[in-house]
Amino acid sequence: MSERRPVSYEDVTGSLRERARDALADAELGGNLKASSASWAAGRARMGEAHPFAEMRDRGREIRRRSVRELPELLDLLEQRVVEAGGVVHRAADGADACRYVARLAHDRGASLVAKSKSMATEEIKLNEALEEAGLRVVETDLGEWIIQLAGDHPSHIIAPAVHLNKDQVADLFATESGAPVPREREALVAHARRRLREVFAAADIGISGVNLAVAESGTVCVVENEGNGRLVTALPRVHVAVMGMERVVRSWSDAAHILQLLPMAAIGDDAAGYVNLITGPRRDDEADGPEEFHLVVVDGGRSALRGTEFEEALDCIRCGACLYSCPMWRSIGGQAYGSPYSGPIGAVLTPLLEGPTSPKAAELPFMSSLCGACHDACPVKIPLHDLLVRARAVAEPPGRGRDRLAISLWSRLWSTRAGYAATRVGARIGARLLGRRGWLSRLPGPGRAWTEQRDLPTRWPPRP
Amino acid sequence: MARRALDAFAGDEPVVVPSGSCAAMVRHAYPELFAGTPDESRAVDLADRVFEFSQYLAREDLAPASAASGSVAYHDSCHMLRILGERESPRRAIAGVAGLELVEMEGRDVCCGFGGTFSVTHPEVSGKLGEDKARNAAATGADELVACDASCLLHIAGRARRCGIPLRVRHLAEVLDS
Repeated sequence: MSERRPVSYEDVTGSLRERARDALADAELGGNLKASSASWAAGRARMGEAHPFAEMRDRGREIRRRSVRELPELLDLLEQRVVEAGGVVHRAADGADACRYVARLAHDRGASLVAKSKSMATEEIKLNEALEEAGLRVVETDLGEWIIQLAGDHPSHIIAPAVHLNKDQVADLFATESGAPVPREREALVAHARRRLREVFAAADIGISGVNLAVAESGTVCVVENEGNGRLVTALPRVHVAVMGMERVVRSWSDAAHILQLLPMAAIGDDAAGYVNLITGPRRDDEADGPEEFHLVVVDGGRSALRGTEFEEALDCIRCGACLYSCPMWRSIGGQAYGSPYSGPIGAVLTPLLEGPTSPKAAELPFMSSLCGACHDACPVKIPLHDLLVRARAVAEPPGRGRDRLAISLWSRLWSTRAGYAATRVGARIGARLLGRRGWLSRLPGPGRAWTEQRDLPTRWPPRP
Repeated sequence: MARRALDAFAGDEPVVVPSGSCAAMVRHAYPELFAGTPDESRAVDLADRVFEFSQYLAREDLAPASAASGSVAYHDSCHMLRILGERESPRRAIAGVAGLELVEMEGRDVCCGFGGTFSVTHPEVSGKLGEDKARNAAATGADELVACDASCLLHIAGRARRCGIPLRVRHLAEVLDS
């Protein structure tokens, strides 16, 4: 029996609306989000001119649809090839299973220090917590991840986890960590992080990485990064553990090459990532470096149950984060208000699917959207995110859902008859005349209250300011 | 309600809707809503002959003889732009009004934050986006903000008034009627 652990963070409290309100009140956060979104949009605009992005998206979608359809076969092939290359594959039914496997491995190898490169899958399954509970020291080595580890924060973006912080906030964190003042210039901060993290790479017993893409035909995992830390994490320690969500696989190198190009284009507006590490098994006898052991942990965690459902396309995601930057809601409140490792449109779809639609915290997420569709336009594999959000709302059961359903069903019944529709028009007209002042209403009772909390309501059209 | 609409609009006449969002609902969502039901073919049929107002003008090559003076900014409402794919038709209609100038605003294709029930489920986020939209529109110096969705305009105008931003709004059809 698999235990279902929550994907969203247990220390995140309050309702989504309250968390959103707090985020909106944080002017520094607003500025940081605005700057990072603008920089992403500029990159994307450049890409749009340099590449036939529209055609690339079509091919990307075709590859991901096909890969998810063939998933069981691809995973078998991947496992076979990894084992042939000398690696070990563990298929984990859920996050708890995956965490147990890695913790036991660390125990068996007598490890004490774990160096990690960026991985959303390990964030999803809360691997760091599990390893720390097992007595290990875990250090994130991606700059952004290290920053939020020091801050005790959760990631606010799939590929840019610390994008909600600015460099002054980062300098303060570094100073606290090292117990000495740190220069506040960008380059000096990076140099400081590099120095501190080199000590970790050299001493770590185990390196844990995520997987951006696995290529079934050769048993290769691809780790895409821009800092070089991924290369050190996967090459220096004696043991390398790669953790992947089970859908992160394609059949061939021809498929992989396309996705590996599409990913940085969508994510950072660049046609190549800084480092693309291609790892096939552990170090071979004739090789000078690389780990002695390679373990691939393939996490299901609710994914296989999505195949063949109306939500299957959520598995197509390549985790580029473009839908977050494109989303007016995410740009307004940032990722942390979502309370899940996966924020923005894909997070609002994926979190309740992985956690279960009856989880109150996850079930609120699909409603943090105006369904504007900007995410669909931004998605490099054309996931119809706005449609998935509508379907996710249909099955979600957040607090107060029963009351909303009743109200909507009464409304629907009222407007299904000519007389009912006419009656609401007459009622609205009378109400506007009674309550309106100079063509405007500023306070409505009952269900209209939420409207007038933020806006006035014109009683004449066109409204006069 | 949707089944009522199928009954009410039976036949083979084109159906013209003064809202990009409503047109998108029928065009895009009705076929999915009725998929696998006895009404599926009627839903697909209606989806094929429903047109947003400016879309219909462009399709039939209609140009109302209207004249005005001054300038307007145009808000690309979400479903109009991203589901119906209509960027040009409303701009062409505005360009057809003698004496009227179209001014493009910053963030013209960013959601205004209305989003139907979203406006009352998350009024604060909705209000923030409405304020951004109203400020961008006012910053153009245009005389009014025009859109093809009255619900967006209702929200933007109401938010503008609450924030003290002077902004007039009108539906495209009202502009062409002048």
